[in-house]
Amino acid sequence: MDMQTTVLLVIGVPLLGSLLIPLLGWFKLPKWTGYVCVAFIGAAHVLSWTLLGPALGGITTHWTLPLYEWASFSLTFDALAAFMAFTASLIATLIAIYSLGYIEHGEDEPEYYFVVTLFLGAMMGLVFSSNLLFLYMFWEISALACWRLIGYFREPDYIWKADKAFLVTFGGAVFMLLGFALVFAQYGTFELAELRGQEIGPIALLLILLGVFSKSATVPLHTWLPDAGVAPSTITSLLHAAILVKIGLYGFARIFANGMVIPPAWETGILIAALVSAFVSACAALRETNIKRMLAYSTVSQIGYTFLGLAAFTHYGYIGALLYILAHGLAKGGLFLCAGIIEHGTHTKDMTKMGGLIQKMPITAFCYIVCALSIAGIPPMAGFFAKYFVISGLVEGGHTYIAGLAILTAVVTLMYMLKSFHLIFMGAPRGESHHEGSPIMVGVVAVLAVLTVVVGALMHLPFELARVADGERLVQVFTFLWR
Amino acid sequence: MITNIGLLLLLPLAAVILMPWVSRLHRRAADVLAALTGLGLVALCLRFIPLHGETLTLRALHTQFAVDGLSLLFLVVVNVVAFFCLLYSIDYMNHYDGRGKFYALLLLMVLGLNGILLVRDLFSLYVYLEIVSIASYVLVAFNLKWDGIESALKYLLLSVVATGLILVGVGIIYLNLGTLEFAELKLMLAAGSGPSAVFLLAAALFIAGFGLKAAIMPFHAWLPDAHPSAPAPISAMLSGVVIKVAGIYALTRLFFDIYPSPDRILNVFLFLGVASMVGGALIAYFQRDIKRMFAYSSISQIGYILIGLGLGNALGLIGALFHVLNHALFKSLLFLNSGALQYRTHTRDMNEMGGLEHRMRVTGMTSIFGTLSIAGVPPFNGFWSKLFIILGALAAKQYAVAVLAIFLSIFTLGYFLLMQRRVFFGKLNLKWKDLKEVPLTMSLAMIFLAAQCLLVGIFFNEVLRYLVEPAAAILLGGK
Repeated sequence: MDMQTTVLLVIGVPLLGSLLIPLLGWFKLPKWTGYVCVAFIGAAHVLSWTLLGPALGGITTHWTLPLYEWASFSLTFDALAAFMAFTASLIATLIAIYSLGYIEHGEDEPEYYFVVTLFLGAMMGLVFSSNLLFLYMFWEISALACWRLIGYFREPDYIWKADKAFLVTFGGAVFMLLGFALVFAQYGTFELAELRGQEIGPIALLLILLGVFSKSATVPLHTWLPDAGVAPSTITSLLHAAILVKIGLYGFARIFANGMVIPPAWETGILIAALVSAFVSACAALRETNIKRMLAYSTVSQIGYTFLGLAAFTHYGYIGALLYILAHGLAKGGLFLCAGIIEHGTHTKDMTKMGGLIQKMPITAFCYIVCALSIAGIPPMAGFFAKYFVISGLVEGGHTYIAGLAILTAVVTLMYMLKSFHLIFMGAPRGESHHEGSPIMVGVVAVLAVLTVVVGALMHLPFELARVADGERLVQVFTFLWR
Repeated sequence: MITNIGLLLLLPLAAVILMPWVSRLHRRAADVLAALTGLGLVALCLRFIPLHGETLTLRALHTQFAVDGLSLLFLVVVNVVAFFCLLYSIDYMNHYDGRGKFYALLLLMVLGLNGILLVRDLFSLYVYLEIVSIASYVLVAFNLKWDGIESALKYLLLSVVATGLILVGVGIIYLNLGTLEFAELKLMLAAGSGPSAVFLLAAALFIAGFGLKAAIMPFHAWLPDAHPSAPAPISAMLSGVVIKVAGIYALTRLFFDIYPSPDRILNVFLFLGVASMVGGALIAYFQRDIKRMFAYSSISQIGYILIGLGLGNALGLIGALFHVLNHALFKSLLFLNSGALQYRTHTRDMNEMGGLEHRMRVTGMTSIFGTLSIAGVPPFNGFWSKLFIILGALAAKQYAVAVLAIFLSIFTLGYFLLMQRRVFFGKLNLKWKDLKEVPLTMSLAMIFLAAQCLLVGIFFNEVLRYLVEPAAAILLGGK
């Protein structure tokens, strides 16, 4: 199978396959929808394995299907895309498996699996697109998917929050589209390959950042993300760990880290915005008592951290950011799925009403602390290496003060993570009915926790991939200097 | 092929004449005749597509009838939407008496619309405009309830003003230039004959007259009354098609094809467009009546079309014409959705509905398609036309217009999500727990229109190549 077919299958299997799932619901087979969803997402993941070899070999390819004068559907395969496709589909597969135990059979079950599959399909499409218009298209399909999923429980308040998430991300994205249109007005193309190395105008940059920051829930456009916690835990996990907020990061990496050039004065501005976002939301997480809102603020903070790595525009910063996407995805996915088990077992999200759960849920407790420590950046978990490279990248770029404040943020992160563990699992047990989750749910959480440690131990593998992803950039800088 | 032009008028005419007899034969005979006529008209239109905008002319009864790229685009829009409205009416008209009369009037309306698009002189255009208007007045009042009759009267009175203005404009043109044929007018105006001050007066009369027909913002008062009280397929025709053919088509034909407008007229379009886009959306937000909300949103979307025209560059014009097609598809879909809701719940008040997606899956699903299309969410069709308009605004250096268009598309999504939240997305209002989905032909019409919204969005390049670009080429002819 040649690479083009593989890439098309990685996109097409979940994207088009998702359309079969409502049919199953139509033919009164709703129980099968979950398995079909796992099959499609899993197939995309298995296919993404075959892309890792060429990616490590440094192969990059580009295909274009011209549609209209300036709108062509083009796909790029490179290490960055392969890395992101692998990470997102890995976590999404685990979450889909967990859903089998989490989502109750009911009227809305086919819709749930349909939208989840569509969601991953949109992510895969986004990862490989290299035309700004189609990047935007997949970007919006994901927003649409998250609208349906956040409102899954259909409570009036939840629907309002789903609408809010859709409106904020759509709003940001259409302004980003205006930014793309400005780029088009200046350079006459939407193709990223042709825009590489061109300097972007300040207004277009600002508009694109608006889209990126609204999607990645960066302060002050972050409020929809904690509100989105009303979704089923699987969905929050998917939003935070695998797909949605990573889209903004990926978009930034795709457009700027290896493409258009940001005016130098703006680089520091982005770093400061990311730092403020990371620190402020870490403090918010410290004060939050609702477990899902606490984790959501933690995501905002970690996304800020990842932006620090990307916007440092240094070798290690970039590698650190990519590793961060992987490490944070595994750990935060695990944490939200733990939260799902806890919520199933205790019927509350308020951490102050929990306590002593370690006795009833020992495996969940263990997985929780492993993932929490990874987020806080404690070795040997994967999160440590990611954090280390981000900070090292900041220092490499000469941003020593920002690196110092980033370390302070990491300390706050450790504080709220330990505090939450203490509130939930330690102390005297309250309530008798608490119970461990179903085997399938606990199994998935355990896999994520183990992966967090294994990836930490085998850090050289993703590091190599991230290094290759950054390789092109180094070559470019080099040729620029040489000229 | 040339005889097909005549058939576009004769087929509906024959159906209108036969309808009273056929409807007496059997209860379903009128349905079959209407649906077959609609299908036949669609087939006739589609056969023109391979011509790539070549002009075909038929001379009959001392009148010229012609199909060119611009009329073809509108013909396809009219007949496709009309077919789905006819299909939808088969089950929808169970509510009403006199389905034979209904079909006859609806087909008369289609006849008039096709006439407007085919004729090549101003006076015939006026005649067919009146045919459409007369059919519309009766159809708006078809429920024979007070609100329908009242809004039909309002529509009648304001339309008379509009057609009066148009007729005076036609008179001025004839007095000064001695002809009303499009081709001759075009030559004379290009040669610079004709006193410009008088011509500007005629232009103002036409903008006001056709603007009233198109329900552009200061001239919109009749639309939010007339569209909601009509039966749903008629609302879909009025909002989806009639305001565009009677308003936008006539304006484009006059101000782009016949007389390539100077900037000051284009700026009028731009200004009216922005006013309609902003004003329509702001009022739509506050509506509780679902059909009134859709009606105001039509005003807002007509604003987008006018903005595209007013920009005057290729991107803007393509965007405007593409939006004509797209708006016809998604707005008629949305009106059919509202008709389905009214068919089952007997109300148009959104606050009384709630969670209906659990009982009306097809209506709920297709209304999501309509919502996303109108807000311009890709990959649905509305995205591409709005993108063209925004690119056109940037190319024309109208940055404020571009930002407003972007902002209003967020606002549009906002009030359509509000509609979704009140009507479909949420906990089922227990009052409706025994509700069922609407009957087959209504569901089919909605499904087909929704599918077209998506397919036009996905195969936008083909639609642009075969329908929109030939039409835009005519508008750009003078530049």
